Amino acid sequence: MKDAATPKGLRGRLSGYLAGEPLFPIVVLFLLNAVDEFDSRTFELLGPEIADHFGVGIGTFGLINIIAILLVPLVAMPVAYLGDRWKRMPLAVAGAAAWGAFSLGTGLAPTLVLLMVTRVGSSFGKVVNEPVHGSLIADFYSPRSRAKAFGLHSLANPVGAAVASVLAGGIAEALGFRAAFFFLAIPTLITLIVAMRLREPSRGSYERMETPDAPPLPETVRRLWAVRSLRYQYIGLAFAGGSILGIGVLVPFYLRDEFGVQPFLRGVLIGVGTALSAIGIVIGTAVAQRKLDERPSRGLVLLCWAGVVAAVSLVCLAIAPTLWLSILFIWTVMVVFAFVAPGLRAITALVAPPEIRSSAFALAGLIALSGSGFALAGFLIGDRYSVRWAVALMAPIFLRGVLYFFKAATFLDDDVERLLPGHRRKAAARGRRTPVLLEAQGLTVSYDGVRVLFGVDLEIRRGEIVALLGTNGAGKSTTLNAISGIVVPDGGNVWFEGQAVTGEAPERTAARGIVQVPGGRGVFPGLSVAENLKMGCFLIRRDTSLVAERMDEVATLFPRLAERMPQRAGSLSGGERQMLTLAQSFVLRPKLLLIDELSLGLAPALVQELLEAVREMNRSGITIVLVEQSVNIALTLADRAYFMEKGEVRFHGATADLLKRRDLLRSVFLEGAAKRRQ
Amino acid sequence: MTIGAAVGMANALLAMGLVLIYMSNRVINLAHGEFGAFAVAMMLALTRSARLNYWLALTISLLATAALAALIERGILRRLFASPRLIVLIATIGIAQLIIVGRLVLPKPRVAGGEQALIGGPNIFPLPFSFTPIEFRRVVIGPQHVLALVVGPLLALAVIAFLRYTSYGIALRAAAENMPRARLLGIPVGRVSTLAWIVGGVTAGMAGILLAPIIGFSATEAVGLPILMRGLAAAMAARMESIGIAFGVGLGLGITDQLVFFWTGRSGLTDLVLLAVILATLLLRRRASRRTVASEESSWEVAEPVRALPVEVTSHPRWRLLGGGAGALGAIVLALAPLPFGDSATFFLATVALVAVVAVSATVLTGWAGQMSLGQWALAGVGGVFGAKLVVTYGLPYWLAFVVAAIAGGIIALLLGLPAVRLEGTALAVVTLGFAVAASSWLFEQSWFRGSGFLVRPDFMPTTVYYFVSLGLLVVAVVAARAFQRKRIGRNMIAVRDNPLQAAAMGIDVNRTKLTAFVFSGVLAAAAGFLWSMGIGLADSGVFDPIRSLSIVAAIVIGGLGSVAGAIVGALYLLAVPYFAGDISPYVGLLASGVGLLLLVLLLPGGLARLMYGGRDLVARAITGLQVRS
Repeated sequence: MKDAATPKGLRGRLSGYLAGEPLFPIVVLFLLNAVDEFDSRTFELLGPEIADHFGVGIGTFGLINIIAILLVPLVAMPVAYLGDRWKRMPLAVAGAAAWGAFSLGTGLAPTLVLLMVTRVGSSFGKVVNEPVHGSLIADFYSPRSRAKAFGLHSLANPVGAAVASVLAGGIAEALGFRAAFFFLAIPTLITLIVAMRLREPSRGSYERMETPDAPPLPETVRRLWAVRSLRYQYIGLAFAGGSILGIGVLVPFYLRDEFGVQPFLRGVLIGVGTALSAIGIVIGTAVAQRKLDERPSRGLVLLCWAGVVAAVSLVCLAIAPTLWLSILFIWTVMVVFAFVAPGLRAITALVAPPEIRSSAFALAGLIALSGSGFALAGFLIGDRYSVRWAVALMAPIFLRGVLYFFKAATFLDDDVERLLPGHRRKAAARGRRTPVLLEAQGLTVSYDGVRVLFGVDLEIRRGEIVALLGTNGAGKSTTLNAISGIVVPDGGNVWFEGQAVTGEAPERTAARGIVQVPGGRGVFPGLSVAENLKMGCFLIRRDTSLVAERMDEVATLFPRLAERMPQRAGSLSGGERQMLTLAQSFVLRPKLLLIDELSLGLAPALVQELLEAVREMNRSGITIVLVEQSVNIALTLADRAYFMEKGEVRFHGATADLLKRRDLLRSVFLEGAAKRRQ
Repeated sequence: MTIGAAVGMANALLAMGLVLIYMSNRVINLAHGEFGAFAVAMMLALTRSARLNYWLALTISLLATAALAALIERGILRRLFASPRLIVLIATIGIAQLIIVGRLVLPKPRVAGGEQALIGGPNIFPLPFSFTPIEFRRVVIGPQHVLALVVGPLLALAVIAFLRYTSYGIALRAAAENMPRARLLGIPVGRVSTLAWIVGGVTAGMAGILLAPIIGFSATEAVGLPILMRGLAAAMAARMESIGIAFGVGLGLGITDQLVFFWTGRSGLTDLVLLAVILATLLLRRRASRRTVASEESSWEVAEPVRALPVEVTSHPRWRLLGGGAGALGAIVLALAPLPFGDSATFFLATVALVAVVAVSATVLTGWAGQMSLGQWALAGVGGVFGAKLVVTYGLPYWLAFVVAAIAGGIIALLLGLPAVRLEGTALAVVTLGFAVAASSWLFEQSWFRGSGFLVRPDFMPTTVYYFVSLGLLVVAVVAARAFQRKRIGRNMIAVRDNPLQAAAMGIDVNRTKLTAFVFSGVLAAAAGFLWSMGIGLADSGVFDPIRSLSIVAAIVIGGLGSVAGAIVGALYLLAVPYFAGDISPYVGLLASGVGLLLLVLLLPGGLARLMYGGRDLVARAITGLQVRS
């Protein structure tokens, strides 16, 4: 074995690397992890020969591969569960024995069905590696050298793959593909024997993984999904994972079908690529770590551009006219994949809440598998047309995934910041049911790089009317727009009924029950009044009886509108339009109504009528936030008020208290109002 | 009259679809005609190659077109939700190019006379039923006309009913009128817009299928744009607002078109009529309607100015040495380029130079003067076709023909520029596109404009000389464009582009500035066009088809709008891809252009030039150690 052949110097250095902790465990686990690659790499590399032997195309071959992988999650959870209760070393050894046996079986399988069974069996065997090895390393090594041990352990994958590619290719070329499986089962057997000598470490010998009360699964998934940068990464992963899976299977076929590359050369080429990608991992870890330290989003964007490079390389690969060019592109793709992986893992760790971090990784794995449909589509195209087309198909799919990662990058910094301790405590407290309907915290908004809101905090309780006052350009309307989602805030958060709604599209927030009444431009002038109201009912359109009921209510609340149902809204007077706007929002019966400039440019008599309607809506249980220029109106309606100036909240409290604030009232427009009231 | 009505039905459907898409995305869908052509090609493939039943094939074709439209909306338009509308317009060019590729790879029916033959008439194009055509003096009414007259109004009524009575239809109108409010009421504008595209795609597909047996259909690249023009004229007349008017005008246009055909017996006039209608409606309405104006402001943010290197860097001895060295090296490479290569590679380089000249001319116009021209290749065609006429018919010496052709290009560009005095942005783009289509189908076919026979490359101009002449023209174009940019007129142009009102207030003669830009670019383009037709020996509408005008736009966008170097890089990209990868598929050029266009619009709006300048700054920083940021 390799460790036996290693010179004393390396051994000494490794020992130093791990701060004098024992080497034997990591060597064993490294070997187990490496020989795991032997089996899967051999199968992938020799795909063309196996497919030919059984007389099937890429489609069927790929399907077997996908099924074997897709069944993994079925046993992954139970194995992880067992790993937390049983002795783990026997489990690891049993797993290795299983895939070793099934790997041998692959070499023997006489029919396609049996081949499939062996594949499924061997991938079940490999399931033990991820959870069990991780847990073992944590107990073999102290936190000080644990990261390094993990690093060494994951290095086993490329090393194993590179060795396997070359060996399998060579053996298959000389003796056929079945022989390759036989010979490559031997290292697995030897490793098994060595592994049996490793003693089980005492569980939690250093501390246990700190997982305080991890929430139940659905809650976990929901919470992960709520992190926007994570969500877009997951979606992107479905695309990217599918295409990566596809490429893995397609490349050997591509080399064989397009350039007639025989197994050995193929193995060498892919082996060299794997070795190169090990360099990619090392560089990727360093570069990504540096960029991530600088600013997380910058790191992700860098990885995304690397992804674009891979996509372009895939296209080039699809049209590459010569073998050497195509090799160049294959290597590029492999290196980029390897380069990106550690960075992405680090980013997931960065934004996932710590207590559900391991679930975040598990979910990522599952989602990456869910993209295997794309791979299958590629295989079918490869069968029907040519491998080139299949490779070409993978490029846009992969690129689609990369675009999602770009999108994730735009949310990343914000999400990372949100995990800072202070934020988290608050968010937890907020989860409890309070009479608070809407809360905004630290809301900042910029237009074209010019900041107009500087950390606005708001708290709106159920059932109240709150006025938002301020001079022109103070940011009142912008605040409303940021809540309803018309503008996307670049910082801060909005919670509605305890859930984060920051940056959600207005149609989503409307569905949640936040409806904004824009001042003076709320109607659709070309549509009739009836059609305008119908648009107000869009969200409840399926419930026709409810729609009819609400329409009747509107007719009683605004008799004037009822008379003008067939008229075009454009022909209404200003006051009637404002009424229509209110009515449109009223039929939806929102939980929170954001009213912008209700009285702008209207005659006092009309304003009174509208105010009455607003009160009526409030009485029916709708919470109302009112932005007003006219302080008189605001103060007669509202219980509480926020006073804004230059993009910040200067005062908030009961309206009566606002009147006592001389300093604020000195501000131009309030003065007159205060005098009048006194 | 009846035939006209039948054709008009198809026009009307196309116009309605265009208006629908405009309502949802505020963009004129330049790929609209391609939907029609795509459906027709599907139809042909399914009925002729796969021998399916008519109705089954019809269903599949329309479903495929709908799926295509939905895919485009979801995948591309959705992403450009907040982009300037002109960028979205450019994106539809890329979409059009991709659909063309998609259509061309469909199996084509084999007809006597080869694959490319014009496919026309009911005997080749499938119809659900047939009867002996009724003859009425010179007019023949066949089943294809009856089909159009029945299906057309039904579909139109269905669309109108959809808009008037269904929730989503009303939501579409609502979103068109007040998008933010629609979203605030919880209307899923994304889904509504997808629906608009689907309806638009289906109507366009149906229109194409109705139209094909009547006017014929050829399985070439250039079939989509004329279809687009049919709908566009009517849609513009309806100000992109009213479905009803669009329908009426479309119908009327069809009838007018057939009457003109009936009286004159000439068919190429259609596109001319359409161009005239577009011009008339655009110029007659006093000012562009509020909607078009509002959506086009700040359209040129994409053409982000490139910051010049600071003086400390440009005067730095090492930088000057490098610059001089690189310049000299480049000159030597370009001068020696013909030596190691064969004739064909040298010829290829010459064509790159010529296309680059046209691209530079378009940059002057589009990137600096802000006048979107989709007809730049047609301007080149003016030089090419008219120059060929001068040489072949009148026996003018080549150099004189070259000069006269360039002047002719300038004059035509001036004429084309006149409407630009009144129009801006999208409207002008539509006019220039109309010019490109009409030039190809009418102007370049006129006996007084077009010579007969081949334009033979003269003996004194072997490929190497041809290359140097082309390269020379490129150098002249670049130097002239640079000088143009630095002189007052260049600054005026950019001022006019960025803020015409303010520019006028500062005493710049906006009109003169625009027209100067047009003449300048027309001369350049025509000169290049003349050399182009001389190089390939042909000068006709096929060489100067409107699709290539769109490719020129693609080139300057890919290279980077507003940058001379970008124009050259873009031209190189467009030609090099098919040159090196052409044997994989004949359509790889269009594919590269479409994909490149969309990728850049989506990912890198600054174009390749942005990357180049980034590289320049890196180098500058590295060798001078000064702080450089662009």
